[in-house]
Amino acid sequence: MNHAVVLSGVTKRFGRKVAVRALDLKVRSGTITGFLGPNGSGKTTTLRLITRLYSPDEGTVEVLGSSTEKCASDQLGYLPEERGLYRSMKVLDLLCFFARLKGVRSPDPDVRKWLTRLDLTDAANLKVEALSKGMAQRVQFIAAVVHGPRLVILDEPFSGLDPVHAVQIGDAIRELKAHGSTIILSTHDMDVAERMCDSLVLIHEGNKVLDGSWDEVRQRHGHRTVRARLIGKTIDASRLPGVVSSVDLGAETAITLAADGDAQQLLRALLDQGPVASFDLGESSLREIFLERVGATRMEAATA
Amino acid sequence: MNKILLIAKREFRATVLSKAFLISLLTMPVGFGAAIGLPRVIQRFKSDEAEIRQIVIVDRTPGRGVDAAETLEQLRDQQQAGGPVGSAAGDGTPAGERPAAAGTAVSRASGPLSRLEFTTVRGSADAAEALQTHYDLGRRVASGELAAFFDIGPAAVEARGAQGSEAAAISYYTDKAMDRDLLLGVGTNLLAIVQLQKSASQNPLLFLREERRYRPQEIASLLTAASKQSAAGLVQRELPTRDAAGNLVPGQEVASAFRAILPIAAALLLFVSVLIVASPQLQGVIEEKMNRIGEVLLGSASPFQVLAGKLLGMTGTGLVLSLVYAGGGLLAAKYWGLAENIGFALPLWFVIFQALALLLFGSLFIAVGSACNDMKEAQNLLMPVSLILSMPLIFLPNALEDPTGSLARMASLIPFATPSLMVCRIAATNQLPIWEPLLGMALVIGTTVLAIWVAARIFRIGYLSTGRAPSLLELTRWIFSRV
Repeated sequence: MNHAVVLSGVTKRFGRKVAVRALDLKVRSGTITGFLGPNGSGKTTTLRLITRLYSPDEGTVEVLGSSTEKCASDQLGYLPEERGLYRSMKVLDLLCFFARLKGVRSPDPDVRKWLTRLDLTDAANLKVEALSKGMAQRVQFIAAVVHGPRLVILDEPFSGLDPVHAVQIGDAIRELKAHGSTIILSTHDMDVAERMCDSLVLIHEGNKVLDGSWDEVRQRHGHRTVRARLIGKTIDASRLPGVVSSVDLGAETAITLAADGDAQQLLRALLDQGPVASFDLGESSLREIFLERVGATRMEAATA
Repeated sequence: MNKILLIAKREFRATVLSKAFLISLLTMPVGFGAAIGLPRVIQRFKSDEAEIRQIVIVDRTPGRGVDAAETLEQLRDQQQAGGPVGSAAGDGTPAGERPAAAGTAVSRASGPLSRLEFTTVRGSADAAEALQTHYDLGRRVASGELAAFFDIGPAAVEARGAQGSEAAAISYYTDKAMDRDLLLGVGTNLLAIVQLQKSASQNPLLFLREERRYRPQEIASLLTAASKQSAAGLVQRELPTRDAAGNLVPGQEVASAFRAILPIAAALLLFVSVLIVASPQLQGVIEEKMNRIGEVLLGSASPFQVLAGKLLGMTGTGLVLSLVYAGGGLLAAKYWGLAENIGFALPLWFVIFQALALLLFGSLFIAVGSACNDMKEAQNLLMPVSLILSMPLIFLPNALEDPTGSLARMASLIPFATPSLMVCRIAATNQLPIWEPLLGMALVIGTTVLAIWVAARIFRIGYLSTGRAPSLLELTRWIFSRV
């Protein structure tokens, strides 16, 4: 399968700080890949390496088949996490400027089409400084995709959007994928990543912690979890069999089962503690996997 | 190249169409307007009680002279009456020999000649005798009895009078730096009166028929029609003095105010334009950096393309600014009757050195902006750039005083000082060998290329960096490090 992005042994340092450490990564063409990681994990540095804003200190970065710095930046669309718009420019002029910068000769029809699609027709002649946060975010999204890029890098694309426009942007992203574009989606929103991404990359402290399709990640790192509640009593997880960990969520307790843990045995043990009000068996969410992996990495770092 | 031009166009439009730029652009013309208009308004209020000033015209032309005082009084009365006095018709002069505009003049109700009285003194063609006359009149000027006196050289109306010679000159003696009413009202009209008499003296028919030249009344009508307002050709001189031995010393020729102002005006305009345009550019780069626009731009174009686009846009803006200012200055000079023919060399070199100065200093300002997070941080890093930028000011007095001297030559070949100093020297003298501005230009181009390279190296790191501003040592490291 073709890969839109291939990073091989990439290391990037800023002074003494290693932002990305010997990173190997492949992003399949025509997929949506979620980039996950806590703040300061090296995620943005990795995205900037891919967009050629940074050069690696070690290793190679291959984007759309080109490993030189003169990679066709016109085939790449980038939505930064923070708004990067000229505040005093009118929306239409601004989007046409960015589109021309990406090599579109007559951008006006495409820009207007996108403005209509994202409910921004009336904002075409407004200055950016007059836009709400959500409107500015949609304008920024258009600036990233108006030139029909083959690789789109979106850093928190749903930030500041109301549910209606979040759905619109989500649909637009899926449509870009359907037309063959490769999407890299960096987000802190695990639900979005779980819902939209074909594959996931978790970066923590400059290292890749997990990588693969959602099914692969779940298979490798997921657990069965039980959310249970007793009537009038708090669950004592230390007396339960086959349990890896538990988290007191207040109203209920989230219990993670070991790989060979038996849910029926757990239920019987809970009944021994008291009357069971609820018992919900499910698989690990991405949030849980994320928290567990990040936590595990921190533990490893602390004991190393 | 296309991306560079796109960014340049955006930068140019964003700046030139901004309110701040338009305000700064209008400030000078408004200032000029006020400088010109206010004194006139004040003068209008004061005109009634203003004292009458005495002017003496020393006429050293042979024969009956040029009737200068009588003609000027005709003109003055005509101005005060609000229309032309008398008519040239019926005085015996053939109609076909007069300019068509004669007698159709529009005159001003009050003009520079009002409140002036003229006396003609016949002077000797002999230089020594004339000097004594000038000395005596000079004492009267110094005492305040006379406002000024003019001298019409003995060869001024001769058909073959040597152009530019002292004998053919009209000189203006005063102890004031510039008196607009005397310069425009008397000086320029006197020049025109003499010119008309001279052209009439070259017409044998007219000469034979009248045995003298134009009459004062005719000249007044012709001058009102022509409304001549150029002081070019009028020589201003200091008052004659006596040396220690008691010998009379002729008054030194004073450079015209325009010629005196031009070198420093050109040099300072060049310097100020860089400051006016580069400072907002620095602020703009900081804002772009903090707004993350830089990240989007660098996702579409290389750091060099972004920097070059910004520099070109800034250079265009700076050129518009300085050309508007220079044009405004020339118009003002013309209004004051000071504008002389400045030729093509000075404007050409001015545009070349202005563009190079904008590129040279603009690249450094942009580099500093890209390395900082706010203006406060930028102030510290700007210190060395400001020192370099101010370098020409140190040598400017010398370049004005002795534009062809070795110190001025050496200083104007230091690339950071070249643009202002070379333009100053070109404006101050026409004795400058062509190799000097050419060599200066070559050195500035070389330095500008180096400055842009350094700026691009700093820009590619600084534009995306956050946190504490780098020290000068760190900036030096950035120049040679990878991104």
